[in-house]
Amino acid sequence: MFDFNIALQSLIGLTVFLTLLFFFLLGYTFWTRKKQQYWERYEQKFRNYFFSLILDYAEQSDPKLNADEIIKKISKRTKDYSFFIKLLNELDDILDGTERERLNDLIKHPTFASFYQKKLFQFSTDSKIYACIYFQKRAHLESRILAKLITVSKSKNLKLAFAATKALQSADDWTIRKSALLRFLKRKDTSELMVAELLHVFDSGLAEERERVGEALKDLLLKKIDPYIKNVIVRYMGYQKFYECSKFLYQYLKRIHYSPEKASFIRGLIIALGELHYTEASELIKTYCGKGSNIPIRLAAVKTLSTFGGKENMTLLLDHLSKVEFPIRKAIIYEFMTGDNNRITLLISFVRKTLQSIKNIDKSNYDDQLNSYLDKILDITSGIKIALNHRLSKTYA
Amino acid sequence: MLDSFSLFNFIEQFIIGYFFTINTVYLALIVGALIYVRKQLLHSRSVEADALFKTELFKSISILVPAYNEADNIIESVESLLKLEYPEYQIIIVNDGSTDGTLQKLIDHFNLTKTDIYFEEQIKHEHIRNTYRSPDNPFITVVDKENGGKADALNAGINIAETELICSIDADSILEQNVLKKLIQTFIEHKNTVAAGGVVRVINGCKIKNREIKEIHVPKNFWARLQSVEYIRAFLFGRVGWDYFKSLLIVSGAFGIFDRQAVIKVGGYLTNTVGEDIELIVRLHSYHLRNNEDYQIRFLPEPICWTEVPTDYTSLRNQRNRWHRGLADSLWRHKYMLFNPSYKHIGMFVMPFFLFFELLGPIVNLLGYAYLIIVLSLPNLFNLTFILLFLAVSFIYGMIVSLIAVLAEEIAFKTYSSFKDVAILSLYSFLENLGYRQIHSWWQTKGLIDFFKGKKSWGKMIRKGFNE
Amino acid sequence: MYQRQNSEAVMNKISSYRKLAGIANSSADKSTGTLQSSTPKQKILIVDDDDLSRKLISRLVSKEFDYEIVSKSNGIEALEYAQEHVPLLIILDLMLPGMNGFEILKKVRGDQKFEQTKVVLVSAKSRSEDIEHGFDLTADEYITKPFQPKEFAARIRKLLIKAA
Repeated sequence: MFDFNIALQSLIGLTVFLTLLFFFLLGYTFWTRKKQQYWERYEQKFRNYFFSLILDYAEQSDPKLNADEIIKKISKRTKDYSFFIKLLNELDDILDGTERERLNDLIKHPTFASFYQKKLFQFSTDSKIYACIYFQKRAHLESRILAKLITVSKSKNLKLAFAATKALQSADDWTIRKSALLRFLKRKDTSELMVAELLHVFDSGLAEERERVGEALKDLLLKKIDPYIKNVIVRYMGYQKFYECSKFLYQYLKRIHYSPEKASFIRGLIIALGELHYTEASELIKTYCGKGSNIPIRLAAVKTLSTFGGKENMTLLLDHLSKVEFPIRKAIIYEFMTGDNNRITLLISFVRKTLQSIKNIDKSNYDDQLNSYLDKILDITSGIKIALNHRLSKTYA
Repeated sequence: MLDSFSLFNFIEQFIIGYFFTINTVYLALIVGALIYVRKQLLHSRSVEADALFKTELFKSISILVPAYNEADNIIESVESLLKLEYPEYQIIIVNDGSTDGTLQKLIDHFNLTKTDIYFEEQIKHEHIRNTYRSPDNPFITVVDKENGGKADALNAGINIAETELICSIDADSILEQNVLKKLIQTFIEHKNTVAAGGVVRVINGCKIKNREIKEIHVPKNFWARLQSVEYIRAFLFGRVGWDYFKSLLIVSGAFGIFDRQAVIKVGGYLTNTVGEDIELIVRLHSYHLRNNEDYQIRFLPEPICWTEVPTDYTSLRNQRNRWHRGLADSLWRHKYMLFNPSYKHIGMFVMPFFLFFELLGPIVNLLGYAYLIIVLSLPNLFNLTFILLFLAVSFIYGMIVSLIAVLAEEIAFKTYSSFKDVAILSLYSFLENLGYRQIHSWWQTKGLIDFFKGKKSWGKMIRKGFNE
Repeated sequence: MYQRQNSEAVMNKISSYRKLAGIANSSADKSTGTLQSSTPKQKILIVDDDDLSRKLISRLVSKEFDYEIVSKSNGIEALEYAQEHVPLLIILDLMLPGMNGFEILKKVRGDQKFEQTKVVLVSAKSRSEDIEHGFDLTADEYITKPFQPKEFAARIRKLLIKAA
């Protein structure tokens, strides 16, 4: 079946290949290590040299330095540019204030801008990603760069599109920023964490832009976007306290119909309304508290009602305590441990009442139903005991 | 005569074909993985999040540390866990009925006090005697429970954890400081990630000073060196390759991050198996594919976790025997997935591959070597063509695969501190194919036999501890 | 118990003498610049695992103050050094290999020897719990990265004046 010659040839062939591979590996390793060592030393020297230059520039101690003069000292090698930008970016993470602004002036210098612009127009994805990361820190992008970034942000490559969308957030034109965000959120492969990251970049945090950002976020909620993404948007609105949007969120919650896909979104709306302290929503949220809706939604409802506070909401939670499943029970008990002592008083009166009702139970009528009820009460009391202990140890610590 | 001739001919063709296929598949996996890894490494900066951590919308993590008789290491391990870079994480140490004072050491060192915790037993586990917390350090919880094995301890930890993600590790794993920030990248990059693992490397031989890995070298020990090659070939590039096809079947027990709710949904770790790490992953695949839910199980091709490998023959044999029993058990429990189109590529392609090549492979290997000996010793069967071909496709081809793996690691990561280390590894990639693989096949076959005999024990491993 | 208090009081006295001596030392430094080698300068220890932060901080500190500056990247090494040389000021990053900043701070505060040592925590984290935790462990100052160099220097100056 097998031909002897072929067998011999393949054995010899493979052995030769193996030997060559072995020596190639050794040679390659040796060479790359030498090269790596060389570049490491070079970078170290480079960094030492430019570290003090850059800082002198940032601090503007005399003699006054000029950005052009510093950049002139960098050779035109690609490596030097990336070393320099890397150093600047690292310093940018540590420094703040006027020094940081000066660093940013260096980063934004036209020399680098044109260097990365070239990279952006290259074919390779790696170059494009590097360019996008650079432009994320820039402002006043030129139209040619913007146009290219928009094209890139439509890429099928998720990471590249993500990087480009982030870069587009430094555009001056508000509509470009907004439409880039919308375009990315409409994708099917966007992860929740990406949305959170993008929203934080989109929202510059400037007071004068706040209203515009709020309006834009509301607008996004009306677009055709997957509910799991809308969930992140409303959570962001709640967390960043977009009070002016609370009525809108309330109206949204009013009209939404439950479906399993929308569960996380509904939960997000309820949490956000709590964070925004929109107490008018309490009647509506109460309807989500009872059995029937899913557990995360009910947990959110408990949390929000407790944030709203007030005797009525708290009494409602207490009424639920002996009927609900464990996670909700736990949440309710812990909500009673937060805030003022009135809550503890309420809780204790609940315990007293329950004890009284147990005493009044007809013992002759002992059955399984009663048994499970007693188990539940026992669990609640131990929960209260544990939670009280936690509260105590926290106040002492 | 003709019949028996064609029979032998068939056997020979089968053996040659088998060795050729398996080595080719591994070679393809490695080369594919290398290309993929380079791309991943270059692109990973685009999913490095910073704004995310300024919001509250990132995922919080609980690290679960099961500890059974780890008194020598436990304080060191937990101390190093306290230094990870991540904005919010908890550490839950589960003392699994240790008899060597592990618990007392923890209590003394962290100044723990008994603190009850109100939680629900969503997954069954052995009785919890007490829970402890520290007034100084709110991030640590210690659970003291009756002995029930690693899986059982992890289940208790999963119940107590309150975070979105859980991270299961071995008490003796050494983690890179940025491990959580790195691994969260998989969750940023892929939506609906339910599990993620990363590269596990051999710590033996590395220079550790002041709890910091200063230099990375190949181990001095013979067995550990062989395993270094093996870890690169199979556990680094092998898994990256599988990840490329979204077909990851193993996330090492030494380190893995899971979505807590997803793990609870499938019922937690299985306690009566020795391969609880593989089994959980297979069950996660099975559950999500069966219910048609979107999910991802991913591998991050960056070194994040270091583990001490066994350095003596017996420990290594027992470990591999156990791993193989674990694999057998997981495949056996989920045999319904085999060739079942509703389990998509996992049922049609990955499970069969693991069955025929990973699980039954060692037997074929042994048969091949046995046949070679027969051919060599019986003059009337002597067939030089077969012998040459066998040498070519099993030994030489195997060496090429191992060597390319070492080369790939060098191209992608340059982990080792000096040229000498790589030279040693290259030499050991020859040795790995001359002797080690054969013995390894025997251990695995023995494991398979033990599995059918119903042996479930873990086997002993001598640990040395890190303080050298 | 009584005895312990007593010895503590003695220690306090000794250290206050030392404090006086310290002031004398540093003023001597300034007046007689050439004599510096005979009277060793007080030390400032900078502990940070990030090379650049270390360099930056030591640049900031050395520009403004005349102290000997030593920097370490590993927590354990830093503590060992501190125990041997008892610096006047420790600028401490939170995330460190070996031993984290909180741990070092706890050790320093638990040791009589460091009674006059001021500790500044520097960290990228700005979570309020961390700052609280830092002050619980009696850090003298807490600075978050990124920082303004001028403000950083001002805070250090305040501490050093207090220490003197």
